[in-house]
Amino acid sequence: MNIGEPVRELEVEPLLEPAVMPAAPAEPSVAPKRDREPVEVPD
Amino acid sequence: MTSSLVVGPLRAYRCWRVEWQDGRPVLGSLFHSTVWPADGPLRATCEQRSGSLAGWIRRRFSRKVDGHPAPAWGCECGIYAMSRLEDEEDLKISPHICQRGPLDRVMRVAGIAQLWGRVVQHDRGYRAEYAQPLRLLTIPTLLRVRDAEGLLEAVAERYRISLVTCAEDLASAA
Repeated sequence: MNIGEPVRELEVEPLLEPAVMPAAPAEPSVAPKRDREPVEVPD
Repeated sequence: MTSSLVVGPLRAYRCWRVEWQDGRPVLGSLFHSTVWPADGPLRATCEQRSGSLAGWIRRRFSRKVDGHPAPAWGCECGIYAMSRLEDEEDLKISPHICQRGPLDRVMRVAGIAQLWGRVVQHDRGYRAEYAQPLRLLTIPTLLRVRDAEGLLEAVAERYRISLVTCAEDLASAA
């Protein structure tokens, strides 16, 4: 293959693969359980 | 010599040999035994480092520095591609059978490759560090070679590249 004479050197950016986004953490299906119900405290 | 930074891969023409090897469809170099990987880019190495006879002869009669990364300025190493095809016939008769040696006939197909990494630009083409095939030209009326159509479709599927049926479509990707 005759490509002629060298002209210059290049640094060509690599082929970019499609970015893979990390999966978002799943939403908890159940609300966090409280240890106990809040208690009204009299003044 | 300082390098210029270029954004994104270059696209350039080249020809490959296409054949079945161990039951798998492969793209290979026309002038070397190199088989292009299907699962990633081909990375250039300098033959002057290899144990080939051609490498030994070059080392023996060359004053160039040995053991360099490819492609190097002043060497002949790297993955070759052309800014336009030297032989216009390749755009009119792809694929076709060509004689590579006295007893060696191969199917030759023209296409476009993406090039990146360290690249030496020449006035009619490039020598690149990394290359990956992008498109192959298969003119339907030329698919008379036995099994050619099946082979090219299998290559396209394995390498995840597209087949185009006219030179204009190939050029639009260059």
